Amino acid sequence: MKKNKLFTFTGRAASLILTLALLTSAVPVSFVHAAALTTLSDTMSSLKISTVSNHDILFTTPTGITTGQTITVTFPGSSSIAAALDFTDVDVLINGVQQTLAASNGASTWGVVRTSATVLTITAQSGGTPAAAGNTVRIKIGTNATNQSTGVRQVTNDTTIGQKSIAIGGSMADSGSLSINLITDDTVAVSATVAQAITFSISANTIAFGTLDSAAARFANSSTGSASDVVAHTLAVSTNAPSGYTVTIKGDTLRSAQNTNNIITPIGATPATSSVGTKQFGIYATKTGGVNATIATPYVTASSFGLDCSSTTATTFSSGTSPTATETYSLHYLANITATTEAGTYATALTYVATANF
Amino acid sequence: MRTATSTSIVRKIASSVAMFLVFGVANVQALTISPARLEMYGDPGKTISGEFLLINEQENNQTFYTSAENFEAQGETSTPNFVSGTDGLASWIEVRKEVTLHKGEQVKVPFTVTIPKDADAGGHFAAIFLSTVPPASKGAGEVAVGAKVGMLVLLKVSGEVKEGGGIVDFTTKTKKSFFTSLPITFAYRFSNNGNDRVNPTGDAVITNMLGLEKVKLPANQGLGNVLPKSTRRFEIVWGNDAPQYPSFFDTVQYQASHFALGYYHVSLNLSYGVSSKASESLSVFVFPWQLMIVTLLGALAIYFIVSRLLKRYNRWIISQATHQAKE
Repeated sequence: MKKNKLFTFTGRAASLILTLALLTSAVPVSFVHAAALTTLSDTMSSLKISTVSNHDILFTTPTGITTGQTITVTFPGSSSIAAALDFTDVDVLINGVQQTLAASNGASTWGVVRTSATVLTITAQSGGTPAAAGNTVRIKIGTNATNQSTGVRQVTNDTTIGQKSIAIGGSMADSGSLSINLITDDTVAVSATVAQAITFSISANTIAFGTLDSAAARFANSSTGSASDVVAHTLAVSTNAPSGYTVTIKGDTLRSAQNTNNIITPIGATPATSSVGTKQFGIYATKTGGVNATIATPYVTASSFGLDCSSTTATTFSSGTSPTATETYSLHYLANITATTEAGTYATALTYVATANF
Repeated sequence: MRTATSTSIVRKIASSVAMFLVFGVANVQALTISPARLEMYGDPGKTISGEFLLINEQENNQTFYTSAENFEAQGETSTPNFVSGTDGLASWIEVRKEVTLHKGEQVKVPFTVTIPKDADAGGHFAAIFLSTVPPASKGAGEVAVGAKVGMLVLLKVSGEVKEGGGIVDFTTKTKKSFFTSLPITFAYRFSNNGNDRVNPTGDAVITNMLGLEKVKLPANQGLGNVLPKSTRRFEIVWGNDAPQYPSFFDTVQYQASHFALGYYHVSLNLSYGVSSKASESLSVFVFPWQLMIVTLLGALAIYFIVSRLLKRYNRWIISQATHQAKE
């Protein structure tokens, strides 16, 4: 009886082994081999501790990623993924092709979820082939993510300096880690000083009217005077002073060397056109180049002359309120006399002063 | 290294004048001085030193003569008003009387400021001038014209410096509050009742009807100073590049590219001195009626065209249906 039972048990065991052997040979079984991710890298916008940074993580998956598998990106220690960071702050590219992202995965959509302050979980699409073996996977996190929308939330770096590790894992077959080196400050202070300067030039130191005439206006030039309105000389100013510049004019009117009481009347602050047969001494100017200087009222009207200064009082000739390239002023001088103007040698000295504004 | 860089920059700034020398009228004086404005600090009874750079931009050698004059504020502008006198900062400055430069040569000219022991604390202001001496007039009807270029020296003497002042008023330049277009120029007057210059800094923040910030404009872009016992007027421009003599459509184009519509609140916030602050605000209303008219006409035209097309389509549909019914 005992012998029969032993025989029966041996027979059943042999049958079971045989059945299993047949099943094993009939049903195909595949084996998954986990591998290490290759060519891992992370380009960060800042390596400074406790500072928000973008991440641009790149790796190659030797095995590939199948539907629904997850990729986890685990940041080190006290790093902090922005609490509201979501799929709009992330781009995922497989072999350079942007993937459609959402809060959870779908048939052709990858899901992105901030699992914790240090873990970001990306779930592969549930249809098709998410990533074949040997594909590159690129994950952009932060403001560098621009595919569906431009990211606004980033990851704050760990609070301590030194080498840190970012782990890439999840339910996908492959895994790996990469190292980053955080430092106290990743910026270099660069400074330079631009010195303020002002340049002033004048084209002539002596101009002349020649012999004045009560029957015709005379205009000064650098020779012996002119019967027509001409440019007597030029002034040129340029400066990089932020507050701009001012040119003032100071000097007497034409005065007789023989009798200093005899003068050619200065026209004054209100511009006036030439009036032959009356005493007049005045100036007007035109400007070319530069940006914004304004010629003062007595001198700004073409063909109308003014002179509003004295040997003791300087008045503004022109001024500007910002830096400027060269502004060139062309100055015209007029002198008229009456028939009874005392004979003599009439002359004067005018000084133009250019300074920056305070 | 820093000096070399500065010199290079100064030369670039002066290059346009040099070009004028080459291609235009030959100048009898062309001089660059740097810095154009120098801020110095010192104690009573001490001598402090400084220097400035001169560049002779002429094609010939030239001797320049130095002089110094005090200056004060002229009205409410940033223009210095030079005043003659035998005291004050101008009389404390010692600099060589003349400097001869070869063509294109540049030299650094040192100078000292000897501050009297009884000098008042606070700001003192002067300019160091360089000029060729104008030749004396000889002939009949001659005018001798001279040119001087100056460097402003803003000296602060240590001691009990009083700080006072603030915004006197803040308005639009035209005193209006209704505008049809940018640019709008705001103006504020800042008074300085202290005994040293102040340099107000800050912004004019413009917010729209929803309280959202439209633009933030620097309140003192020229980094200008307000001298003691004076008031200075500053301008802030919202919008730029407005056409000078605009046609109707120029205006429309400008209003579209510099769009502003509705009520705007302008808040001026300034800091000055060690820790003083001042603020003012105003409101303006902008209604770009030219742009509104063009937009309205455009909308009416689209409405008219679309409604005509819809009517035509409806007629076509009805005729098609009628035709099919008859068949």
